[in-house]
Amino acid sequence: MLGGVIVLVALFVIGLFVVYRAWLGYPPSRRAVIGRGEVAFLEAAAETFFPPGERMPVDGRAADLPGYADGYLVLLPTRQRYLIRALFVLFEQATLIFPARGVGAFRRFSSMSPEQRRAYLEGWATSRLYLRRMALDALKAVLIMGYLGHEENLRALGLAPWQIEPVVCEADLLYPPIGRPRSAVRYSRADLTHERPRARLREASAAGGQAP
Amino acid sequence: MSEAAPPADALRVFADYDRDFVEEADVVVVGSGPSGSVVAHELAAAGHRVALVEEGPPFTPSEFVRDSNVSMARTLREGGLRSPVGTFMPILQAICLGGGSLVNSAMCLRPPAFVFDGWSERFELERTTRADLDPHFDAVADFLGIAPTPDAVQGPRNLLFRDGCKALGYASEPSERNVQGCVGSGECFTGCRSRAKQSMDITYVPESMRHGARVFTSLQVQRVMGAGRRVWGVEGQVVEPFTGRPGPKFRINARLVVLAAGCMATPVLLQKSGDLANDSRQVGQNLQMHPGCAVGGIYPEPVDPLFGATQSYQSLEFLREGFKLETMWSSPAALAVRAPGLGAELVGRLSELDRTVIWDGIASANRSLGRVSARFDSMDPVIRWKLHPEDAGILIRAIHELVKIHFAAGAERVMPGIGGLPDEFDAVEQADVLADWKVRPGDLTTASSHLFCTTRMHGDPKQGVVDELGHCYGMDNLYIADTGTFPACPSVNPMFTVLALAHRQAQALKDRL
Repeated sequence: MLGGVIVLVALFVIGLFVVYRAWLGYPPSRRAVIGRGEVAFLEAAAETFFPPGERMPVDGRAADLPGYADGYLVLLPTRQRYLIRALFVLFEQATLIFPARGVGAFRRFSSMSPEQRRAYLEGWATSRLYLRRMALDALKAVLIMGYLGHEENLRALGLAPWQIEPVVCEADLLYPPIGRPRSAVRYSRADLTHERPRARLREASAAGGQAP
Repeated sequence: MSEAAPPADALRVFADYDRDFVEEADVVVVGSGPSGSVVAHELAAAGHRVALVEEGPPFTPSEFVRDSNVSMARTLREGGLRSPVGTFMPILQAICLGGGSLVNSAMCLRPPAFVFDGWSERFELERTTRADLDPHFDAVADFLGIAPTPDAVQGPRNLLFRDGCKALGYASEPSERNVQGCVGSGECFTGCRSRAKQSMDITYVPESMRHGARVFTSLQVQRVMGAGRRVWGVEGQVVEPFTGRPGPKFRINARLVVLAAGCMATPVLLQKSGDLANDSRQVGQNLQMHPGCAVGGIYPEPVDPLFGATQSYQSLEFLREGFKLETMWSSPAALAVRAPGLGAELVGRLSELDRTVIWDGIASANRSLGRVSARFDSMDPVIRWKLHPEDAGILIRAIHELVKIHFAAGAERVMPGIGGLPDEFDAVEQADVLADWKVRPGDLTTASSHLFCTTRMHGDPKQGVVDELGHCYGMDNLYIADTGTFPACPSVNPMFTVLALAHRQAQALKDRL
């Protein structure tokens, strides 16, 4: 009887801890996919990965990586969406397994000091465990895409996408916008900018890449 | 060459399907990538009733987005996050009309004769020498306008590769590509907004429609209908673009079925169809890849990396040793994901992107074999593949050479991208450590979009799934046309080879039909 009570109390305490750890204490946030814990993690990660830099006008915090990640996750198939979200949760919570140094080493990632966060991530980067390093690379990939994809940062580096005049080839007269019926095809023959009889392609390319 | 516009009803898109339907054709081709679109075109031009089925939607330039994450989520299977179990590595496979040709770099290389000689010897092939295939390479090259990339659109980052190779005495050459009027925007991987790339969706597919082929997009083929030695069509479900949500069911009855769904989807489809064409037990086996590693060089001055064709210079100097070197570009954010470091160090490196030039080496990886099997709950594959230590060693060789070429071209620092080594080399001598480096496969950051051999051709029906013309052993009217039929890695970028093989197959099928 007593043993059963102890087990029940222990399970209750563990349950409380899990609830606290996973859901409580985060500031409110409304996003399409990610929860407030993931938002807090992404904000903390953004600060850690991308502090203000000399040439970069937008730092990690200002780049709104939670907003970027949320928009990206909406586009992913369900399984991949859960995998990426699991990655965020893993890094937020894995301090229990791979604690940082100092006071509060087991706190959630988003609750750590900047120095602890950095040391914690360094631990993943230099781990002998292949899967830990790969997990960090995957996280980094998502974050860098959001940070560097920010147009102001790209523009500062002279790497903003080119403005390219819309080009319409014959095939574009066939294809409607994705999800729309064929009656929604945007173009007619009058819009063609790219009409090149196919038989002359090879000699045109050999002559320098321009159509005759 | 037909100049008439294709009939409007030659194409069906997601919005057209409001109920279950059945269609009839002489031949149904599953997959509109390079191989499927060539087969469809050739057979339609010969007067046969062709149904070309594609799971993805057609894209127009206004739907290409520059953000790599978003672009991959829209154009690649599993949102661009497909990876094998074993060695983690992104596997990039397209889901769109035109298949991989829409989002590849348009490189078209004929493998040298020794590659085909090796295939013939190891896999008992009698009609697959370079000389056998040259007429088919020529036919495709004429159709697509394949030609070397002119200097005018190389841009500094490609020409630096040329200069570095020249300084070291290595052979190098401009890549041949299926482009026309390339402006050097380096956007091949996210879709060519200038419509310069002659991807299948704007070449072979519309041409096949002109010849009477019907093209069905947003259809996921889930089963080849057949029993014993014969098949009689395919069936499956309409799928909504991007979400994959299922819609009405369909069936296409045909006298002949050609699977060109790709090296992953074709074996899965065969397995889901009652293990068709698998007397040899080779369906889904022998998976090979072309893993690549990137090496970044940081140069003293900005190199205007936005300008220049995506991948337009290469060196075949080390092809016999098992690797090929080439230039590359993608969106800056996609390239930067390999940047080492955290915090200020990382931001510092990202700030140097305008001075950074990235090249890559791809290894033939003939010892790294894997397999593909059907996932129980979907048409996605389970991929098992592991980079063999000896093949990892070949990649180290490739990285070493790329480091040398960077320094020879004037780089200040070079990032080898290998775990356990310094993030950067400041001098070429530091790279000497690579000569004896015993790398663990997990220390390399690799990626691959070249996959082969899961339904390989072999002269012996007990060891292969198809013969040299892609005809499935043990089946009367089932063919495979994609890179799964390669018996081994082609050593170079595979698109041109699969185009030529598909062209040859189509000529044989014309007689068969």
